[in-house]
Amino acid sequence: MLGAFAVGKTSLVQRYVNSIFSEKYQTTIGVKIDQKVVRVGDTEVNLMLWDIHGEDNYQKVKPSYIMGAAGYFVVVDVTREETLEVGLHLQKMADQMSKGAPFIVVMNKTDLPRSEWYINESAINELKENSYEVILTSAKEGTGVEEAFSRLTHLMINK
Amino acid sequence: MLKDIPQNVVEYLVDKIPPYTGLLMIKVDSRGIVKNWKGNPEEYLGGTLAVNGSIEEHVPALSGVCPFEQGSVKLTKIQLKDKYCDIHAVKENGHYWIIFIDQTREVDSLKDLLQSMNEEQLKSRGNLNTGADDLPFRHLDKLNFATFLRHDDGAFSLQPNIPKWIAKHPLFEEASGSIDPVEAFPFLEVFILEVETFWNENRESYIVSETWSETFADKDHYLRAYATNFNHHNYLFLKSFIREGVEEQNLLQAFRDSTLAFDKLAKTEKKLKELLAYKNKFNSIISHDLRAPIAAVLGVVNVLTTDEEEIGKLNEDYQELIYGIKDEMNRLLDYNNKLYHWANLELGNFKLELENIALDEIVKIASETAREKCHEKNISLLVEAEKNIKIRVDKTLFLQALNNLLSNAIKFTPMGQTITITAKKDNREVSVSVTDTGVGMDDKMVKNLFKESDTTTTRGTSGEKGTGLGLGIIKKIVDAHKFRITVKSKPGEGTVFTIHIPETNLV
Repeated sequence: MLGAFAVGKTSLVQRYVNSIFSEKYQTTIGVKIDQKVVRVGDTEVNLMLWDIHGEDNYQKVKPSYIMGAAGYFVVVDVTREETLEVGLHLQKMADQMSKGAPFIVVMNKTDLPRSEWYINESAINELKENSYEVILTSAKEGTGVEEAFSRLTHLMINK
Repeated sequence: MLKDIPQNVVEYLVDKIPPYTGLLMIKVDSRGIVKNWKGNPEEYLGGTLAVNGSIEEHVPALSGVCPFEQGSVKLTKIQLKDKYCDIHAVKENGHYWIIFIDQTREVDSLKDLLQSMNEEQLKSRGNLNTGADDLPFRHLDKLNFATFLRHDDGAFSLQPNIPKWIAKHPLFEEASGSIDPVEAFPFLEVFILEVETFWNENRESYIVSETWSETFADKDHYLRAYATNFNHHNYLFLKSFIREGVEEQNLLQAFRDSTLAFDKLAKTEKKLKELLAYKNKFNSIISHDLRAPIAAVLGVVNVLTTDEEEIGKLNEDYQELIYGIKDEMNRLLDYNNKLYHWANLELGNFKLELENIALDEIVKIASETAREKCHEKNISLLVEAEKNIKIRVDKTLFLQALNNLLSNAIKFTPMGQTITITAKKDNREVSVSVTDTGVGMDDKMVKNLFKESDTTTTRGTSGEKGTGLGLGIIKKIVDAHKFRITVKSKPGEGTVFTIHIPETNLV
């Protein structure tokens, strides 16, 4: 899970692994590792989820975290424009370190009113035109979360 | 290091983080005389500090260190009252900041370690074969470290004296005492690659991983891994630090919460500005477009009221209605004009076109404009304008400000009273005052007079309705010129509005 701070990386993992959501923002120190076993067709896949701390001036994501990644999410908060820039910067770094592992750009917090969205349809379409796979999610309401993890698992298995 | 940290972050560290990890910073001169401080001296020194007192009185460890001769000083693990502190002195512009960093917890944890090492030494006095060489890190459990020896075949063995936290790890429990750190802690998959390189290079010192967290035994554990090479053996250490991890998290959280709050405020401010601009633009367009129909209706009414023969054909009731329409349309036009000017001033849709103007002339024009209305209320208008004063102003806007001041004065001056407009030079500035003998205002009203949030309007002495925009327009014009406006008023006695024109705008 890569992204700027407070975009909802931990919330997405918690929603996916434990089906819970907390309104309170809890900053992540370092890396928090969770796992979830999923079945894709006849295959049982053990997902090791690395919830990496958000990037900002106080914490920089260490490239070595991504070295062994089979796939990754770039999480963006639709209500904070700057989180897209941070996410794309991290994606470039991750692409190099993971040698082209599959990834999905997750636009999170879509439960918030549209009037608060700073990342609009055209920005999302632009990403899609540049071959980025984009999924809209709400860790709070659970929308898109299962779909995002399933899709990334599928991409990783079929790589 | 503190010099590299922004001032607001240092202040946050000093003021916000809990005292047990907090800082105390005392500013002293080169002789150690206290000048200022940040943080809580009582927490560290057990007493209050006094400006111009000597730092040596409070911190005996600094006796003989002052006057500071070096650029910076560092004293470690100094006991002060109930705390152990590292004391740093950093020079800044001829003064010194003495920074006290609480190390009590570190000292407390080291105490246990030193105690057990000393006890062991005492027990084995005389016995040279203590096994110390075989287990060089056997006391590190006191500091919450789990020690792993890495064998040549790549396997790890957990060394004796196991800290409590790792004994609760499910893999440890399953394997009854044996644990593969990489299997137990997936984070190490990445770190171990760095460690292998480090061990292969046979370098001295140690390397340390980033922090990661895992939840087991119903607790969040913040973990960090260290690796070293000692006596040709490779060691890997894992340390759990729940309390420090939580504190680090809280501190970072506080920074990020404030960043998020600030971002939210900035966004709200931006949105409000956009809304305000939209409102002003809307007002400007509407008031502009209303001018033509208002003027058209007013034109027809004027034709009706000036043709005495035609209006004489109507009975008195209808005549009164027509005159009523005329008055209301004039008021509507005035209101609309003011709204238009105000909206454009708010939008910044104007550029000051400064020109040199004779002050008495512009005062004369304004007074001539006001004379008709004064006549209607039987108000005497006195003009006392010094000659030979030239000012540099935007003539149209400045005249508008004077017109509004005079309209305001007429509105609040009872029939038969006097209004005076004065223009004179005092010392280095010129002032233009409009003085009325009207109803006046109390202090509270004067205070809120130019506040944009104050939308109250007061009817004039003859029941004239106000727009609430007149004074706002005057203030905008005065501000645009970088002039000042002052108000003196007493209820029942009258009001004086004065525009102060600085020397820079005198010609």
